[in-house]
Amino acid sequence: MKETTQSKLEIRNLHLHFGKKEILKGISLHVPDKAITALIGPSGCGKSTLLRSLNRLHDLNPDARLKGNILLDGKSILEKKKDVTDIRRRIGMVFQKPNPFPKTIFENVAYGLKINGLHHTERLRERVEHALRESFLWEEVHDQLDEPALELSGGQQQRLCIARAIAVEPEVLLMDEPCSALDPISTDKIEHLMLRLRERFCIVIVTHNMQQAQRVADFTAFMYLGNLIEHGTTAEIFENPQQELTKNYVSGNFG
Amino acid sequence: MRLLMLCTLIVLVLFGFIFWDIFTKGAGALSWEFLLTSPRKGMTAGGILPAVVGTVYVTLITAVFAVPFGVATAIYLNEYAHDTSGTRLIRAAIRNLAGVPSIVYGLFGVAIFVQGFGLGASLLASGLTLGLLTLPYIVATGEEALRNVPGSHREGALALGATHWQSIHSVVLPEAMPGIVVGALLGLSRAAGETAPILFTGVAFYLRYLPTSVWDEFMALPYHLFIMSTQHHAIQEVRPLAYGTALILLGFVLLLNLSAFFLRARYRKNFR
Ligand SMILES: Nc1ncnc2c1ncn2[C@@H]1O[C@H](COP(=O)(O)OP(=O)(O)OP(=O)(O)O)[C@@H](O)[C@H]1O
Ligand SMILES: [Mg+2]
Repeated sequence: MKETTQSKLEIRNLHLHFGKKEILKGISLHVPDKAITALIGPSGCGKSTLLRSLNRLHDLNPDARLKGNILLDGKSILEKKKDVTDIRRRIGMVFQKPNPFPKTIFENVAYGLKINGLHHTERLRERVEHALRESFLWEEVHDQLDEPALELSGGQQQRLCIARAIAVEPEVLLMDEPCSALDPISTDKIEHLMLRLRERFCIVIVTHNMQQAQRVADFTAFMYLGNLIEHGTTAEIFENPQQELTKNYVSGNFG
Repeated sequence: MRLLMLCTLIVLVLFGFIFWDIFTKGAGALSWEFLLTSPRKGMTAGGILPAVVGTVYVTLITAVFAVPFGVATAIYLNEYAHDTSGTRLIRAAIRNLAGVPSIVYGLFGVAIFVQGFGLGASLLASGLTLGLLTLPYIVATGEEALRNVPGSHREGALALGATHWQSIHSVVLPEAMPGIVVGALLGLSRAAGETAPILFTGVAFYLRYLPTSVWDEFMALPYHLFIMSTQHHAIQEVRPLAYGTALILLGFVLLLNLSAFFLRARYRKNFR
C-alpha cells in the first residue's frame, strides 16, 4: 500500500441540500494523488452526490445547495467566479452507464480536445490514439475509428468513455460505479486499466463491489446516510474497521 | 378490438376514396403546360404557375421566419429555462396557440403585419402570418426532440469541460436535429396548405405576373383551389382544373412530408 499523504483533493465539512433535504451532512476527506480512493456505502447514502460535487455537476440543479469547501491542490473549486469548465477539465468523470455520444469513435475521444481548442488534425490524431492505447482499446478499434461509437459493446463503450475522459489529461478521474453495467471480463479489463492509470492520476471510484474495492483501492471511505463514517487504507477498513457500522457493512451484514 | 379494427378500416377506406377521387379527376388536367403556364381565358384554361410559385415563395418566407425563432425558443425553453410556474405557463400558452383556428391568425396578421407594420397585403405579410401559425408547432416539436436527448450526453460533454453552449451546440443539437427538421417540415407542409391566414394578408384572386419582390401580392394553390371550386363563374367547366390544382397542392405537401421521412431515416442510419 502506498503511503502518500499529500492530498490532491481536500473536502472540508461539505454539506449538500437538495431542496430541504440534507443529503451530505458534513463530509471531510483527504484524497491523495496517484492513488485510488474507493467510496463505499449502502444505496442512497450519497456516494454519487459527493462524487458529483467534486466536479460541480450540481451547478445544473437549481435545487442543490452546497456548504463547506472543496480544495484542489489547496485552492477552492467552489467559488462561484471560478471557471467551472476549467475545473471540469482538470477533474474528469466516468459515469455509471456508458454514455458515448452518438458520434464516431474518433469524434468521441477527440471531443474534449476540440472544445479545448485543439483542431490541428495531426496532433488530434496522436492524442486520440494515445488515449485509446492507454485505455487498452486501440487494438480493438484502430481500424474502425470512423464507425459509430454506439456499435461497440458495453464494456468497450465504457473504456471509450475512459479514453474520452483521459484524452484531455485531467488530474483527477472520478468514476461512479464504472463496472456495474458490465460483465466480469470487461470489469477485469477496466480494473486493470484503473491500476495503470493510478500511476498518473488521482482516482476516486464509487463501488458496491467489496471485492473490487479490495482489488483496486489504496484507500477506502465508508459512507452511511450522508455521513462519512470511516476512512483509511483499504486494508484497515476491511480487516480492522474501528466503527461498528463499518464492520457490519464490509462483512456483508447489511447494504 | 374488432370494433377498433373496423373503425380503422372505415377511416382507411374513406381516405383511400378521397385520394382516388382527386387522383382520377385531377390526373387528366396534369401536364407540364398546366404546371408551367399562367391561367388564361378567365381561368377556364391554361395552368397554375403563379399559384405554384406563390405557394413556394410564401412557404419559404414562412420557413425563414418560423424555423430560426421556433428552434431558438425550443432551445431556450428546454436547455436554459428552469422549470418554474412561469415557464410552465409559457409552455401551456404555446400548446394552446397551436390550437387557435387559422382564420384568427389571418385577422391577427391583418392587424399586425398588414396595418400595424404597414407591410400592406404582400408575400411578406402572408409569410409572417403563416410563420406565426407554424411557430407553436415548431417550438413544440423542437422541444420534444431536445427532450429526447439523454441527460447523460449533456453531462458527458460538461464533464469534459464543455461550456453550456458548447454542450448544446456540439452534442445536444446534432442529436436532436432529425426531430427538429422533421417537425419543421411537417409544420411548413401544414402552413403551405392554409388558406385563411393568407386570405386578407396578401393572396390575390388572379395576377398576370409572378411576384418579383416580397412586397407583391401573390397567388397560392390553396386559395386558387378555393376560387376554382366555389367562386368561379363557370364552376362546372373548371372542375378538372380545380382537381388538378388539388393534386398539385397534395403533391407539394406530400413532397415536404416525404423529405421529412427520408431525412429521419437517413439520420437514424448515421447515428445508430
Ligand atoms: N437530483 C436530486 N434531487 C433530489 N434528491 C436527490 C437527487 N439526486 C439524489 N438525490 C437523493 O440523494 C440521496 C443520495 O443519492 P445518491 O445517488 O448520492 O446515492 P448513492 O449513494 O450514489 O446510491 P447508489 O449506491 O444507489 O447509487 C438519495 O436519497 C437520493 O434520493
Ligand atoms: Mg450512485
